[in-house]
Amino acid sequence: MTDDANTFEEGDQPRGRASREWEVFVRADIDGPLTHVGSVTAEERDGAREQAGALFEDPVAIWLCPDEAVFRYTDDAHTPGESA
Amino acid sequence: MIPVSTLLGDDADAATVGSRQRGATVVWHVTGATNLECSYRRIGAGPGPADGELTTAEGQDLIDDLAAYGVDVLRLAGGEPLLRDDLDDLIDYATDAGLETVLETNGTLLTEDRAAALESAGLTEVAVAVDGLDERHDEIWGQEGAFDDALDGIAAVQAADVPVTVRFTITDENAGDMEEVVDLLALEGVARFEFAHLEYDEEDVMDFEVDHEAQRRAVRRVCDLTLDAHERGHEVETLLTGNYADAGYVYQYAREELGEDRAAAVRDALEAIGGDAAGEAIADIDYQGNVHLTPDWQRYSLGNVRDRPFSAIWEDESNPVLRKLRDREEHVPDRCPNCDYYSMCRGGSRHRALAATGDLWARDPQCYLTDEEIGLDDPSVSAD
Ligand code: SF4
Repeated sequence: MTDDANTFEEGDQPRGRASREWEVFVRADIDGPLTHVGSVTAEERDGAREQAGALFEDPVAIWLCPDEAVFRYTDDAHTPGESA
Repeated sequence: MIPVSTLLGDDADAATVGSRQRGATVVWHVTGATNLECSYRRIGAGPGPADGELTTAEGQDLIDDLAAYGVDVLRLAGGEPLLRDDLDDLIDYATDAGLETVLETNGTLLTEDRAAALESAGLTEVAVAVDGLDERHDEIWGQEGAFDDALDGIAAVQAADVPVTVRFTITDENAGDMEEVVDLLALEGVARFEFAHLEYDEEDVMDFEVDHEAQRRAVRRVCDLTLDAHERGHEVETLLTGNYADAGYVYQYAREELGEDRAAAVRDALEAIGGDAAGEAIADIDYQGNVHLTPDWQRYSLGNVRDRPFSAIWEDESNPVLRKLRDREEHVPDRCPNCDYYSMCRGGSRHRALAATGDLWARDPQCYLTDEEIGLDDPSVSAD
C-alpha cells in the first residue's frame, strides 16, 4: 500500500440486501493472523455472531464488523468496471 | 442435476450422461427488481433496481473473469432478470466471451420481440418457472393470470427458436400437479422439465418443506411420468435438482423397473455425475456482487467481486468453509461415508443441514433414504 504508482478506488456500494451485512474475521490459532473469511447477513449482532459461530468452528477469536463501517480502498487495477 | 430421462432411457452409460452434463456453472442475479412476489424465493428486493447492483462495466469485467477462469455456463437470474435494461448487452458480451447463457425467469415479461432480441444476443436457453396448474401457480406467484402469462412467454421463446426448460419447484402443495403440467406443456412443445426440490434460507420458507414420504412420492412420480411419457411417444427430458438423495432413489427405481443390468449402468452414470457440487462446480453471485456457495445459500458470502475477482475468491482455500466443502468426506456425518450411495450424493446439502439445525456438518434433513436402503448395518451411526 506504499507504492505511489498505485491509485486506490474507494468502494462504497451497499452490500446488505434483505438485512445488514457483517464482515467476519477469524483467528484459528492464538499465534496466527486474523483472517477475513467473508460476510454474513443478519439484522442484529447476535444473529451475525450465531451464524459466524456455526460456520467457523473453534476459532480462538471471531470479529464482526458491520459492512457500512468498512471503508475499502482497492488498487483500481483490480476494481471491476475501471478497465472499460 | 440428475438427468432422469437419460438415466431411465436406453443409453444410460456414463459417457452419454457425462456428455450431456453442463460444465462449471455460475448463477448471477443480475438485478433485485421483481415484478411478481414468489412465495418461496426471496432473493428479489422489490419493483425497481435494487441498491448497489453491479453496473454494466462491472458485469462485463465479471464475465471476462468467469470466461478466463473456465466457467462454462452463466445463469442469469433475479429478481426478474428481464427487468434489467442492459440484459441483451450482457448476454451478447457473455456469448462473445464463450459462455453459454441461461435465463431464469418467471416468463411473464417475455414477448415475441423480447425473445427475438434475446436470441440475437446469443441466449442459449430460457428456464421458465411453472409451479403448478393455473390457480396454484397464480397463488404461488401472487398474481392472477401469472400462469397464462408464463405460457405466453414460453410460446414467444419457442417462436424465437430458443430452447425452453420448464422449472417446477416441488412443494407439499403442488406435487399433485406434476403430471398434468408435463402433459399440458409437452403438448405445447416443451421438451425439457426440471423438478427442483425447495431449498430454504429463511425460516418462514421452511413451511413449504415436503416431508420425507411426500418427497419420495414426488421423486417416484417424476420417474413414473418420464417412463409413461416415453411410452406414449413424448420424448420429454426430465431432470431432478436440489437433493442428491434422489440419486440413490433413482438407482433403486431402476433396479425395480429396469432390472439389474440397466441399473448397474445407471449407477455408473450417477457416480460419474458425482453428487453435490456446492463450493466446487456451482457458485452464485448476488446483484451486489457478493459471492455465495449456492444460489439458495444467501446468508453467507465468501467475498465480493468489487473487492477481488470471482476467480481469486473461489481459489482462496484459506477460507475454512470452502476448504472443508472440498474435503467434505472428512467432515460429513458418519452416516454418509458409510452410505452405499455416497459417491453419487456426497453427503447431501450442507446448506440445508446448516439452515435446519445450525450445524453445517449435521445430517441433511431432506435425506429421506432409510438405514436399510443405504446399506447401514450399525444403527448407532444413523444418529449422526
Ligand atoms: S446418507 Fe448421506 S450420502 Fe447417503 S444419500 Fe443420505 S445424504 Fe446422501
